[in-house]
Amino acid sequence: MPIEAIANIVVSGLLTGLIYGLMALGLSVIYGVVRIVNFAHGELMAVAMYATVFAFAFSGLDPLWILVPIALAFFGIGYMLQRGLINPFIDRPEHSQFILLLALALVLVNALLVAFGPDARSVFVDYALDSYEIGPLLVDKVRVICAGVAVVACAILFAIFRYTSFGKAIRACADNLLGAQVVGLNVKHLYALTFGLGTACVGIAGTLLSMLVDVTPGLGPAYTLLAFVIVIIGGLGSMVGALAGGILIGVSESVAGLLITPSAKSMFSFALLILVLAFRPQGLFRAR
Amino acid sequence: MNRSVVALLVLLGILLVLPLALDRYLLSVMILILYFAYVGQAWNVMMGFCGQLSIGHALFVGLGAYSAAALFQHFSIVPWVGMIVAVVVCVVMASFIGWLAFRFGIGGTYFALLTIAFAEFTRIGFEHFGWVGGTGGFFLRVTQQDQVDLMQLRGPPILFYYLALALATLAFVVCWWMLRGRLGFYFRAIRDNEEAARAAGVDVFRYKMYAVQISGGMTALAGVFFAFYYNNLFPDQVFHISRSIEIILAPIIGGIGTLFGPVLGAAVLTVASEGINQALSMAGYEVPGVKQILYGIALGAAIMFMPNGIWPVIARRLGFGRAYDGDD
Amino acid sequence: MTETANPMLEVVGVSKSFQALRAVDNASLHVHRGEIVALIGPNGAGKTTLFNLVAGTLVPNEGRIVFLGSDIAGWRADRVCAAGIGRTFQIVQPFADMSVLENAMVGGFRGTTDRRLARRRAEMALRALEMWDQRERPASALTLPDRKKLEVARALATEPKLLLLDEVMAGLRPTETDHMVEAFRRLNAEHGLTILLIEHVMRAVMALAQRVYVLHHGVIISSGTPAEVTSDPKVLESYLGTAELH
Repeated sequence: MPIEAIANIVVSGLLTGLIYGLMALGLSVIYGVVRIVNFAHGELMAVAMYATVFAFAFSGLDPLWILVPIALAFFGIGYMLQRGLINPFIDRPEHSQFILLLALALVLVNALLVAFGPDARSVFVDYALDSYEIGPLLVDKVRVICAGVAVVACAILFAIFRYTSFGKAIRACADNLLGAQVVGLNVKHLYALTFGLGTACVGIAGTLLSMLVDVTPGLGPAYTLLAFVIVIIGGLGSMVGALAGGILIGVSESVAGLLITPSAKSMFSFALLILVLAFRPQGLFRAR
Repeated sequence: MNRSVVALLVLLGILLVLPLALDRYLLSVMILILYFAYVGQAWNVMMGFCGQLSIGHALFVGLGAYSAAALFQHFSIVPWVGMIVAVVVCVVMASFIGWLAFRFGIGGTYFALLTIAFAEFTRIGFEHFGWVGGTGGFFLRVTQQDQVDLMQLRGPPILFYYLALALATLAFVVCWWMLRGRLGFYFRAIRDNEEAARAAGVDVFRYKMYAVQISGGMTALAGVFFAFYYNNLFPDQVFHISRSIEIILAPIIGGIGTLFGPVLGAAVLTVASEGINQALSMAGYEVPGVKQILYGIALGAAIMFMPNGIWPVIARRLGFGRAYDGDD
Repeated sequence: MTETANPMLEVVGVSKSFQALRAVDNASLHVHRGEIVALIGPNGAGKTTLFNLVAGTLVPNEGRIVFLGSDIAGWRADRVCAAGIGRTFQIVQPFADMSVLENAMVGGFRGTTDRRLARRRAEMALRALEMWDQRERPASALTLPDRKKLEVARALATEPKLLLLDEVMAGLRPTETDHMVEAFRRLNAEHGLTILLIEHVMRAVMALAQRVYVLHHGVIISSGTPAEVTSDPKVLESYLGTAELH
């Protein structure tokens, strides 16, 4: 296979991987602060994808505009989810939290299935078939734009945690919960904010991905699993790790699609997961 | 304790003669109840006793099923031997997953995620595994339904009823015996407080491994049963996360960590499930996914309002003590 | 009744750092068979860290920990327990969903699969701590003083040769403290149980300990009999900042 073709595939995977990274980032942020394993992560993204599909069909607006209301809506959804449903479970044993979110995921996936049926939907923008020529490489315009937006979203998230007061307050909670409470931080509110931020990431990622893949209800669980694989490989709680892991998985998926049948390409990510857990269980970007 | 034993024996007696009074449909419902009681008990060993959450238990059912089925269909090896292979395969798989997850004492999250990942990827793997049929399915040769061939596990449903009853009873007895000994005590100590368990002399890694190995091995038998009862296996069915969720619903609703919880949960759930099926088809709502939504709501409600299940509440009312007190 | 031969436990030059914080700094102490030794010091001195190093919960950065002739530094906690060291935790850690008897039996199963033996050991331990009457109660239903006693009983049921007690008297009323002190004295005198205890309650330290070590900022600043140590100006300064103690 000519080297340009392989390069194209790698770049394509890298771009998709950036969006995966955004999705995983949302998960990592939630875990890093609230210490909850959000098992409904991918399902929430699927909801965002369907929302985009229908908003697009309804309004004809470019999904990149739809992105803003979706991000805000999902922030709100995440906030309320944490405040209303999950907060009472903060002190419960880990497995109870897990099962609660699993139940939520189950309801979401099947609600989508019942509402919209198993057939695939997609978002087809006018420039969907355009591509950029960068030297010898040929990259999809849509993919580049989506990846760019994902990077911007990640940057905004980093900036929030670094520079805003509530971002710093959230980090304080993560580092030292008791201290944060003593100082008078409203932990419940901050947890909910974090969940909102993480869910907003997932909402944005969903909107972006809906432009690149066909949307079916079954994507929910598949992306939840993918998000976890990425976060474990990158290191639970590491923001950089989530992004890097996303890129790694994006590229390996693309490359795997070359070597083995496309329907089996997730096996590659799986093999990576086992390797990381066997030799560096804390993840690639975390100290032990 | 004596009251409990008498009650259990009475129950067993009823179950032994029950098939005489049931029609084909009700018999199949009872088989389902006993199957879920068994596999729920197997899962309970890992979770209820030792606190290790697995949401990928369908993996062991599937591996057990395919192992025995492949040996039977391709090499005419009787399921009683195939069973041993199935158990070995599942114990090895459980050991691998446990080793990856428990080595460095990282939290239970990793183990739970791994079980899901392994189940999911095994599903995809088997979809491409032509030797056992791939997506198209794997079929066992079926002979005359009326003749009971115990060696090859061929025969009428009533054979499978008694097999399922035997499995469920065996699981119950084995778990009861386990809880009385060091295994049970160490498992529960790990579940309640790993660090304190270590300080009291428990080799936490080793015992967690025992828990997952025993649970996986027991579940393998459920897989063998599944294969020979239904006679067809599809990766998308057998390994799917929905199966795993069905497996855990019964013990969660019935009562995690108790002996009778999985049994009660299986009964309640299967009856409710069949009831829902009938209601949905009568109302014309046979849309795929509705039942799963109800499962999800049931699971959420159970974990929110009755995390210990219904059995502990009922047991207290009826005056049954805990089955595994320190006293003999 | 102490031996002048090799000590049962010898901690030699042990250090432990957590990133920049040096929690234990070149600490050495020894405990002879049959002794009751106390480890005291202001809060944050590193006492529990030292215990954790001996018990196997933490691994020392430097130094040796010799117990009955073997260097146990870095051994996992359950291996240390199997070697004959039992320990309690400063913040009690009962097995909440198990009964008092079952809690103790977990300890009792150490080194054996015999249920009856485990039960006998548990009974002996519970009786020694006057907890036998409550054996059927779930551990989660116990009061704090009772939980502390259960903690000790569980460690005792492992039939240790050396018992590490981490502030077991904290929060007890004076009568309860006296009972505990009595129980330990009896176990030491009748069963030869060697005890190393961390304690703030001076009443218990004076009543029980034959020797005392004082830890401050991770360093052993004084050792000797209780009387010697409590009049040592270095010790008084570390606690109070002055050289006066009533």
